[in-house]
Amino acid sequence: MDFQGAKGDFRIFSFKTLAVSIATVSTLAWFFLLDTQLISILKGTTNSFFWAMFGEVVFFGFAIVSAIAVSFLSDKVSRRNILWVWITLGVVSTVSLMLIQGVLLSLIVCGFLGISLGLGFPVITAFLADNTTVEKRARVSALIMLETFIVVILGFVGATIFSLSLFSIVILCALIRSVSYFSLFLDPCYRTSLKSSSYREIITNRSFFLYIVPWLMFNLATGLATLVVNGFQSPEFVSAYNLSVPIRLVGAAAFGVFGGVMADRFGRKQPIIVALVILGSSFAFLGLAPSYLSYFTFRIISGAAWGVLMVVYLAVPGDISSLGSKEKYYALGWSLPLLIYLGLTDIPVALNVRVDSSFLSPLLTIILFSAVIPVLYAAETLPRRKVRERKLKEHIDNIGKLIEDSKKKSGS
Amino acid sequence: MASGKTLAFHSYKGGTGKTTLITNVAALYAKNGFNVGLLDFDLYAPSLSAYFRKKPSLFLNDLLTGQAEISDIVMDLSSELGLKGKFQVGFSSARKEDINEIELRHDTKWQLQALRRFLAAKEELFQKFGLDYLFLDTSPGIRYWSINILATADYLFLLMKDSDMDIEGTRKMINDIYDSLTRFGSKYYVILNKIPGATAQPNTPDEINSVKELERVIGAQVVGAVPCYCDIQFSRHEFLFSIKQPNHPFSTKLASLTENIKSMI
Repeated sequence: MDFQGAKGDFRIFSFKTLAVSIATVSTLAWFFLLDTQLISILKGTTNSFFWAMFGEVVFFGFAIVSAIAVSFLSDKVSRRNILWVWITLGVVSTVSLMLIQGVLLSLIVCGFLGISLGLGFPVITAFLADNTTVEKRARVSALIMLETFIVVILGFVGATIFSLSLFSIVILCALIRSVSYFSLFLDPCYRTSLKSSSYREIITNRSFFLYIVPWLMFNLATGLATLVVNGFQSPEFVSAYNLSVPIRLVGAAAFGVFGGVMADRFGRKQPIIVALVILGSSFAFLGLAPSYLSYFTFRIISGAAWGVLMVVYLAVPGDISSLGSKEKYYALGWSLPLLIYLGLTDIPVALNVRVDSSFLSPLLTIILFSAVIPVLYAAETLPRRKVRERKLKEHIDNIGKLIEDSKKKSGS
Repeated sequence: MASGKTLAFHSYKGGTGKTTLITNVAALYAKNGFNVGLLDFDLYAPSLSAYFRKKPSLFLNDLLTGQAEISDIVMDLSSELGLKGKFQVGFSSARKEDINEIELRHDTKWQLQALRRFLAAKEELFQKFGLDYLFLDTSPGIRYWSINILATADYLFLLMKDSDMDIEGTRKMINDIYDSLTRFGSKYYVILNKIPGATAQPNTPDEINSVKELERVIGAQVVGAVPCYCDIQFSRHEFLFSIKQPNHPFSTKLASLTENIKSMI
């Protein structure tokens, strides 16, 4: 893959990167598409909004538990075998959604769906980190997220244009998920045989702690924001929400690329800080002047912030972890935030909890601005030497252009 | 269109004898009738003004900041040195504040502007002063102004001693910088200096193989090997030995090196 959009060496192609891309993109796209329809599907299979919501909780819960579980197994079981099971479980459990009826079967399938998300995610992201250098990792992550959003947008557009039924969307999700098999044909996905660190060592890793806390706080704030969003039910807010959905996706994709480029160019801390501050400001704006305009703005900005932070946090655990420990870092780096976000989105929605924005928005602003503090104390994971090397290379390129121009002018 | 050639001398670290070699080689060229320029672009630790015992009023620093023209800066030392060709020398300022300014001015815009001024000055030296060769002394190591000046040269001569540290550092520098500079049409070569022992030229198969092995490790052609002479190494003020004492083994070695360089460029 070559993308020449800014200065610097953007050659990041390798079969390994392609294999990781295919597996990650198809899984994430499968997740985003399925998650938007899962409640509707489960309402059909359980005939109950409550059980549909519970099914989603089971889905995320099993995803989190299986992510943690696989991180213990990753140095004992072949990576390739884990990925085979992960992909197959994903395809089979997705197809099962069309065949089941009743609460129990629905919950069981939700459990398997969750395992099919969580089981391989730390493994595939660790594989990504193993096979990217630190100075290119964020851009590779950005490319993966961009591809994911493109597939998701195409999926939504296709579903709308062709008026796909829930049944057809499930088939589409299964097909997208099955594309992951290509990754296993492209690369054997071997894993280094180094022993991994214990979770105790990881939790007490200062750098990891200082990076994970802001990510948790971000998820806490955006999760709590659902309570605020629940409060906006008038037609103008509903249309602002509907309008913001596609723009938010495109914004997340675009800002993800921007965040990845910045993270590889200047370091991981700057994009994290900027995303937190801008989102915090949008919460303040929403609290001070709640209107469909401030709500719409908040939705777009939160999409951009998600884009940046997802990309950067796809890179950071890989930067901090040692070879052999990446699965645990990714499991913790993504499971905990997901747990928080889940707890603060689906449950309030299920219980129809609403909170006045003027009360909660200032709190969310404080949370996000406070999240900047640990980042300021964290050590930059992009080595300064890499930044210097890049600057030197760009300087030489600039000089080269100057000398070429000078030679042209002098006729030599 | 100017047809002169620009030669830059560089090294991974200091103490390789770069200034001694460049001044002597440049003087030999001038002695042989060529019009030569020698500019001290070791902006971080200039030494040519002390070497030639000159106290100029204007420096290359003034050229880079746009406060002086090259014609105001260079001095023709050919008549006082008894050289057949012109020997135009330009010096850098050894004042702390001028060195600090160069150290601190890292912004790309200023550097490129300064480099444009130098390129214009180089053109003037070739056209108006009629230079055949322009020699550029540079600061050792990977520093912005070394790279800036090296990029303007047609031929780069990396000086090194035959030690593990120099070999490793030179090899790394070639990988990190020189290979990029060749995109601009530059060619680079290595000169071994201060070689211990009396052998100036590899004669025995072992010595020849040793040079070949060094070339393989570093990735560059060795164009000359200059032995270490204590009377030059430890002289209080070595000054154009190749001109003043042409029969000294060091001078004959440099004459041979000069011929090698001329044949290659």
